[in-house]
Amino acid sequence: MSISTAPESTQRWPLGLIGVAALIPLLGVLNLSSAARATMPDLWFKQLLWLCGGFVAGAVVARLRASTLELLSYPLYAVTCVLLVAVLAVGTPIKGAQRWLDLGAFNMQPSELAKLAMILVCARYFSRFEMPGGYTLVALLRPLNLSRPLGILAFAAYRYVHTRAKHDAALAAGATDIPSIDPLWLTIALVALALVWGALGALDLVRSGVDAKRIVAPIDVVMVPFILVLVEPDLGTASIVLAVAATIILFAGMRPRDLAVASVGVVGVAVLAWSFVLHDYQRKRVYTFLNPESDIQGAGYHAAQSIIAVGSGEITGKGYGHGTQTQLSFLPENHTDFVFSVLGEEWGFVGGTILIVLLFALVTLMLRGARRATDRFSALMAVGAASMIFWHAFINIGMVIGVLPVVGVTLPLMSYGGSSMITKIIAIGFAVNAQLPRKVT
Amino acid sequence: MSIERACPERELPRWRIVAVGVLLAVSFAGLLAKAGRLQLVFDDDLRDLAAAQYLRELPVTAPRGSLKDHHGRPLAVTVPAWSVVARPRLVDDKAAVAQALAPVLGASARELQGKLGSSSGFVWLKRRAAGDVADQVRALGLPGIELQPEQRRYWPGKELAGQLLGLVDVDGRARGGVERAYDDALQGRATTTPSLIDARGDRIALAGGLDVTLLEGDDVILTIDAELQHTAEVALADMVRRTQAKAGWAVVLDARTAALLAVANVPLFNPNAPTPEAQKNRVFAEVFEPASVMKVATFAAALDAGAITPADLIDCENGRFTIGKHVIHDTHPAGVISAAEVFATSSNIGALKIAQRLGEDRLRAALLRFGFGAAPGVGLVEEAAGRLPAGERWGDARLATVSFGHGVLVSALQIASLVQAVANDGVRRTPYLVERVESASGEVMRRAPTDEGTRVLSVASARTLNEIMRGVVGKDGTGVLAAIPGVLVAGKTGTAEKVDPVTKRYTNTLHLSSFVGFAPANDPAVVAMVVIDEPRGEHFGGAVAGPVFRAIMERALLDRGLLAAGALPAPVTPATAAAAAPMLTEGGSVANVDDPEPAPPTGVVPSLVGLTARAAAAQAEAAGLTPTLSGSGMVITQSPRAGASAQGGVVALTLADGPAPSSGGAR
Repeated sequence: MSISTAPESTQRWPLGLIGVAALIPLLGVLNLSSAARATMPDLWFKQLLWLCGGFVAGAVVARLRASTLELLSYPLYAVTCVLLVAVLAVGTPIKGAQRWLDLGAFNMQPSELAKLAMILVCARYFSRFEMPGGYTLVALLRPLNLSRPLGILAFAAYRYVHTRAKHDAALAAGATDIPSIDPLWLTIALVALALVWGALGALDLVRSGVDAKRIVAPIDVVMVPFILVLVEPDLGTASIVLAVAATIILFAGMRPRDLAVASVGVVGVAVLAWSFVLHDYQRKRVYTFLNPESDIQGAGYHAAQSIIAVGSGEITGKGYGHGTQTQLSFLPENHTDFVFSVLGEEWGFVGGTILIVLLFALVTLMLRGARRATDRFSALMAVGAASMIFWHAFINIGMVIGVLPVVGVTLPLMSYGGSSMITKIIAIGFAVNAQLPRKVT
Repeated sequence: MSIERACPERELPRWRIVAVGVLLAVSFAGLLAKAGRLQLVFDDDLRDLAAAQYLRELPVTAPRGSLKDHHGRPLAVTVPAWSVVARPRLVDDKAAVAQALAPVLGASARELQGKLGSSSGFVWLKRRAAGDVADQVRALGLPGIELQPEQRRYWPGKELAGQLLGLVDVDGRARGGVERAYDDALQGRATTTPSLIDARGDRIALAGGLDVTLLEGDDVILTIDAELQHTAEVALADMVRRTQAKAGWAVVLDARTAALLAVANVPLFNPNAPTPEAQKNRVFAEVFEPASVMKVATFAAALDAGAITPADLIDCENGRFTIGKHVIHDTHPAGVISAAEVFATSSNIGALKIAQRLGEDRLRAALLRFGFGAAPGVGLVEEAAGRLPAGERWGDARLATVSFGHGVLVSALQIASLVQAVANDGVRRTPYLVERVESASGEVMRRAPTDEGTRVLSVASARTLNEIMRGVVGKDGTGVLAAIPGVLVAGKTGTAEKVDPVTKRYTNTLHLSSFVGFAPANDPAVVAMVVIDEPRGEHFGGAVAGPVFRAIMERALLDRGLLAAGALPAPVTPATAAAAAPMLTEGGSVANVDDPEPAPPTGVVPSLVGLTARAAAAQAEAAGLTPTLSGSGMVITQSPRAGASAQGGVVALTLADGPAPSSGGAR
């Protein structure tokens, strides 16, 4: 696409969206300089540098051809999955989670990349996968495909090796708290389940002819990065990855009956996840969320301090740099996950409202890209990008003001962090890209 | 499954986007509603919760009052000290910072680097460092290294009157001396005040305006004259060194008021660097057999009772007298001499003959009247009562030994107190140490007692004894080395044989040598008692303690304009050196006695509370002071307080930041 220097073309740049996208992080830099001034006085400047870098990356992404992005989607997805596996194998553990990959000069969070990869690959996949009247559940899940039994086998093998290794290591170190090995029946049951399921799938494969589509189902595209992020563990990012994919699928369209069944299914899976997948500290967070008084100093400490910070800001706030919760270190992580609390404390309801309105404007203007898009891929890409910003903002602010449990999700464009800042601006770049004029080929 | 490509241009129906827009608006509105609920509905509760976290009633202890000498010179002061703290997260190059700090703080770089490597936000590197250390740390200007103001007790005279002043230990407890006796007055009042604290519980600032001067401890102004004290210590230390004595002590009193002018003890004691073995204030606490100086008491009692007159002839038995199974010897054997000569030559046999004339009852009553066997009542816990012989009846032998100072335990202060009564025409006044107690605002809280004293001798007998005591420093007296040209000196020597700690018998190798006296004898102004414990070689009281007495007395008389202008203080030497030509030495010098003169105040501290940091620093510098700031914002406390004279030219300012005093405080 020979994007021209023609004046009518440049006028099509969504200046409103770009303006809002610039205003929010500048507000964020100001907020950061207050939040971190006692501990890391020059943090705001670093954030400003990340912001500039992000805008360069976003501008490049916005000017790419849609076809280039489509072309890039699968390679990016593959690279992401490799990095996500790598981070599990050789990542740097911080606070019990392996989320960072040490690249020498800087650390990188592959799960941030996973969000972008998810937007592109879902847009690509679902723009080409269409059903009249919307998707059915069976079409999305294709239950007899072989990916699920293979996944179960891999999971059983992983559990077997991993729990045994942890057990042996604890035993060798003479620790008092020795993790138990999975019982044999569980391994056998999992293997048996995989075999039966796999046999059914194989039968189906033979009956209807060998086809690559019989191996991987549409939903697998979503589930692979989701599970890899979930086991880091990073519940927050995993939720975003899933939510972005779900939003794209919903936009692409589902039949009402199947949507209802899927909703019931999600609740069922949530119950199962609660029992088997969630870590203790995650469960504790949810308990605390349901019953905040149960542990004000423990899991509830962050939430309680955050609520106190926001609430004590009242209408107009305590003033820039004068938040007692922020400046006297009561508020934890006030430069990353809890920047909204700083804003709420120092700028009050007025400041919080301004930011929420700006975020609403940002997401709405990004969705306009979906409406203006001239092709299905661009539309879904814009929807995915907008949904990523939305879910980030909603989950973060929700947890900061006590509507949602505390999961590690940053406030887009506001929280400190290079990976986070750059991926958010690239996502905005996707939305801008979708509404720039296409040269019809 | 069929692929539909019906409408590729407008793939997503418009209603879906609108519906999503509405959903978005509802979601964000929900967040706004919840935020509004927190910030507009529950804001009061949450503000109180926030305040409950950052506001805490924390104890505030105002500084301890000062000890000052008679002329207001500081003897013990509370000075700002600085604790060196680090905020490890702000320290980038921990190794380099540790290297830079190690020589300044006197710690190993390795240890410091370990502390800087701590994961906590705050570590102590050194508590209560002195001002010069703080200055050096400040000069280094290392990021993440801060100074926190604290308080420290400092005795500017170092060893000066160390035992008398006592000390305050690191926990703030007064141990010994005036510090302990007047602890109630000196102590800063403690209170609690709302303070701003951070999540670790560290105090950031005082939240409210608190006038710390109201809580400051009272100042105690002593009767001690720092210069005379210094002279006494130098002279004592010099003699103790020359005679290789175990210890030496001296007490100087005003002859009329009994105010204590100097209380010196050698070995010296520096409360800033305490050596417990040297802390004993022997002037008050050490009791000993006084030997011949006790004859002052015997003569006073006999003269007052009319048992003798100075001209009465006493048979001194040519220096050898048997009483019961004891044989008494005189150092200078004499035949029949006058009572005055008995005193001047210090004949033991003469003294016991006089005591026999007086009788046991009258002597005992007189000794009790003179204050023996009871604490002198200065008010320090260290004061010893001493001991008169026990038992209903002493018997001849005991009476005899008491008359020349054996078998009785007294302190130097008790002897000096009796001599004060003699010098003061027979009126004994309770020795006192504290002139007045003043509050921080200058209000006098307590004054020295102004009792009229107790007449323990008739005027006539006191004056008679005064005359007799002048003979001691006369040409044939034992105390000739205590004589001061141009001034009439009255006194008495003492040379006690001590009990050998091994054989438990008196030995002629261990002595306690003393001299007590006053001057000018015709109009007494100053009383002094000097004790040298276990001098080696020359050991006669007149020869060892006499020159120290003379040095002290000359200084005291010079200060009072009672010494002829041409006369100069004589060197302090034992008798063997006395024949040599007097040398002009001003005060002498002893290696471990530092200049007792504190650094002169550099200026009067202006009031800086309520100013901005910049304005306060500018004003402090204009007043010739170095400001040290902690915190940021406005000045809320300063030390020293406004109007005080600055110690060391430094004023420590605490700044408060944030809304605490006005908008953020609890209502």
